Amino acid sequence: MAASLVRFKLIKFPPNFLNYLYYFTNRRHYSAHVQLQEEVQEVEYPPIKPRWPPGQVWGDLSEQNAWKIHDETQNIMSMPTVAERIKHLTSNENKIALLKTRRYPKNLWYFQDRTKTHLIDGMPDLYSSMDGVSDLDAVVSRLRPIIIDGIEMEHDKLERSRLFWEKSKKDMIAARLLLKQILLPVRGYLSGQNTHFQRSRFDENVRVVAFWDKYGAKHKRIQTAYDRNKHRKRNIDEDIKPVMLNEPYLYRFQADEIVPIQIRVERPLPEFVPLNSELCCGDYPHFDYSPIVMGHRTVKEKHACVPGFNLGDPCEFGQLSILFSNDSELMYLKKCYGDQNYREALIGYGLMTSFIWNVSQAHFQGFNTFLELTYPFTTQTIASDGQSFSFFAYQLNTLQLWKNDKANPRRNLCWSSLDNKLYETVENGKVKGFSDDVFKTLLKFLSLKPVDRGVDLRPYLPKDKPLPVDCKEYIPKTVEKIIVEEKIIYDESRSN
Amino acid sequence: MELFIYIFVFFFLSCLKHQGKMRLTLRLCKGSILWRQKRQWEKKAQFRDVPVTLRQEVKRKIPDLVIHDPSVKPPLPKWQPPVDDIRFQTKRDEHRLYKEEEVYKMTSRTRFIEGLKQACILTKSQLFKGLPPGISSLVGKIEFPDQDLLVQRAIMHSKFWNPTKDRLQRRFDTTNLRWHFPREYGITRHQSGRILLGNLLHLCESVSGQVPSTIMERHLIPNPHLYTHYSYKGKMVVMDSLQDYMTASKTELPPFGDKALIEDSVNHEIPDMFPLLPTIDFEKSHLYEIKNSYGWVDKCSTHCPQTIFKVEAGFWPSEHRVSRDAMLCLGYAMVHAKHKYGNDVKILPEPVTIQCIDVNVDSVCFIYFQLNTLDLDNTDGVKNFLWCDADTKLYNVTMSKPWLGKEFEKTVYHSYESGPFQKMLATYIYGCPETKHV
Repeated sequence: MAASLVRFKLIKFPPNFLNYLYYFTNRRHYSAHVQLQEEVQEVEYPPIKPRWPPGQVWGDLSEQNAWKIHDETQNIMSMPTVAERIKHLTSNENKIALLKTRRYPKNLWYFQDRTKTHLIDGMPDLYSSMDGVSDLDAVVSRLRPIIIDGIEMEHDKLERSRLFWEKSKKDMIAARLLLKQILLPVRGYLSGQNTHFQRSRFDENVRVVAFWDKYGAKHKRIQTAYDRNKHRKRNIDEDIKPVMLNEPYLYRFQADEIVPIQIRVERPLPEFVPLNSELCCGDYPHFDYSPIVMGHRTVKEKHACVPGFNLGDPCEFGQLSILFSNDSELMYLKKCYGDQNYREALIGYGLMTSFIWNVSQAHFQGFNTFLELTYPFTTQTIASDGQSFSFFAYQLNTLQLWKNDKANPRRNLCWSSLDNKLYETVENGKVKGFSDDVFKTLLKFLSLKPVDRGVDLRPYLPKDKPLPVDCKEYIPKTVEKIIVEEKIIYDESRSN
Repeated sequence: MELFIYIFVFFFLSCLKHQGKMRLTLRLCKGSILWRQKRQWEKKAQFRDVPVTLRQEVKRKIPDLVIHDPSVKPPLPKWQPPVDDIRFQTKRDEHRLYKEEEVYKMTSRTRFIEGLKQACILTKSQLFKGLPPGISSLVGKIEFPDQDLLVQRAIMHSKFWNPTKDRLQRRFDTTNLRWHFPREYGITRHQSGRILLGNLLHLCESVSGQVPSTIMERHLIPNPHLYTHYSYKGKMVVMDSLQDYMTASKTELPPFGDKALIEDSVNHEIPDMFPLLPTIDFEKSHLYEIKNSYGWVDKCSTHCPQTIFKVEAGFWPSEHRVSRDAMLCLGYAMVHAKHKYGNDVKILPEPVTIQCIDVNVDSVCFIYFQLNTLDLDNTDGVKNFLWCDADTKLYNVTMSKPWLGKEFEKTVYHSYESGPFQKMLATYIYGCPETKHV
């Protein structure tokens, strides 16, 4: 029967089935060699691992994750260059919560929580101390007629019909041109006076991106009828599943922005408040919900870290970034939700862009979420449409936002003052109500000198490698080769 | 009984199929039949469109009953485009700018086939190569610390340090056309040129400590617009172009050539380009305006144009760029002269001078123009003057040639030259009262 089954190939044996028969035989392996056991008196155990890694206060994290972070920091510390560190940090594709910096009303509260920022009305004391300097008044009196002339010219005297053919972008282009008319003479004057402004970089339409980790989104999304649908196979929690280290309250955020005008300098600006002061530690508004509640999606995307320039640029620190307050999205928000919401959104926009810029600058100095800042980063921001100016000053004190508030009591600071009008109206081609105070604050923002802080700017990087500022020649000059023609001496005695 | 047989046969076949004994094609085994059925249904099914009718009983009761089919929607009113928008214009005759007379039109994209020779004929000018004497005396006189380093930084910023990543053109090499270069993402030529111009202007402005009148008496205007016209041998030429920057002041630039040189220019003969006409490169157009504007609608206190800054993005040779810039200079000088002396002026009592700086990715071209006459229909009499300094490269590049070996894998930037920026600085300062003492 079996043979017939095999013959007609109804039963298939495996090709090596004869090897299985080998196990049923009585054959076994034996040898005459005997291992001698030595008596060990002292027993050696591996050293006991402490429960928490040393050096930091870990707060709410589990032991496993704390050790993971500890290993990761040591791994990053072993990398000698900034380029390697950024490549390592941005190589992983993980889920990120993408933040949109300006679309939604009531987002200021949310932004303050995600960036751990404390808002202060008015400007820091550093600017009021600049009032005593007599140079500023002289500069204002010298530049005022030129700028008034520029505003009048831009208002109705110049031919702009070719540039304004697209109605949706008309306001933005007009604001850019007006701001240029104000900024270009100031840039020209200041670069003649200050060497730091001469060596600064003036850039337009640059991308600013950064990512960071934040503790504290305890509540998940509320279930809706759409989620309860059986045909939707994915779990709801998959969408809002925390990324970093599988810790329940941790999220990785990324925000992306294109800054219209940016000015950068070689050295950092002075700090507004020292790190030990009482302002730097304290409470801030909390928002415990997941980012999906605010309409921000979580996507799987590659991380990026761009502070407006690529590696190698010697101008690494921010002086000023200028945003448009009459952006199409912001104007739509103003039209739909009223003036109060517009003001809040404007503050949120200024706050977010200055925070992102600071974080990305810190990454280029060797810091990241695992390596805490040793000195504060500061930047200035202006949101304007050419007529009304809103000023922001930001100080980044901490980057370890993944710790809870007990473990890391530091917070970031943002100063703001809104709606300062440079002039009231333009009637019959003449500017009326030009305010010197607003122009003076603009000049203060531009002429704030960077200082030597007396600290090591790159504490976590090896010191033997040269800084980008130290490079003295990028493109070698032409070297003229001098060719010396030797005289040929003939033997005259042999001549015929 | 038949049914049982069918079921049995189906069962038998399916058993065989799963054992792999029966020789069925893959498509029959694996493919589903559903899409075939759908296709058949689409092609061969008959759909009957039965008109809706009423019963006779209903008709008797309500004789005037009319059936309204809800699926049939009333036709929408025909969409009519807004009249002002140019994009929806169908007929050319209805355009608001349409005129019956045909003219030559020159934009910033017109490229002269004969280069400077053609520009000299169109502008009726005498050509001098090199810088004019007023400017060559200023070259290298004023400097600031770390000048070469800062210019090199400006170049590096325009080529590498800007973070934009646009899709670039695929590169090819004429020596090895088969080599497949990978796609590159980075800064486009146009943006690179604009960044370089902005940075160089920023450096030029930093002289304001030594020469304060560059800032206090001048005005740097972004994106000025030129729209003029003039007649060349009986035909009208309309100029329409948008520049990047322009400096304007209350006073004019001093002329480059003195009166003796102007009187000598009567003997100069303008070259000929027979059998081609010099107007060969202009477009013919019916849509134009007749106006003389060089940026301003109203009169302003700073109304004298001095220097034009232009960025060229294409792969044009320097002679084509320079000839285009010469025409633009003519346009600006002409409009200013007409505003000053009236429309019917022929020989100007005082010449008008304009200078132009043309920046590319790796080079800077200089054009200096002096308008002496507006009598451009003839070739006799006094001529205009044109100085040009082209082929001034900031640096040189040897592109990578990976097929030659490891040494040629990288593109190398070398042989930086400081001359072009010194010339640019000299043209920027020219005309300031402080330079007389230098």
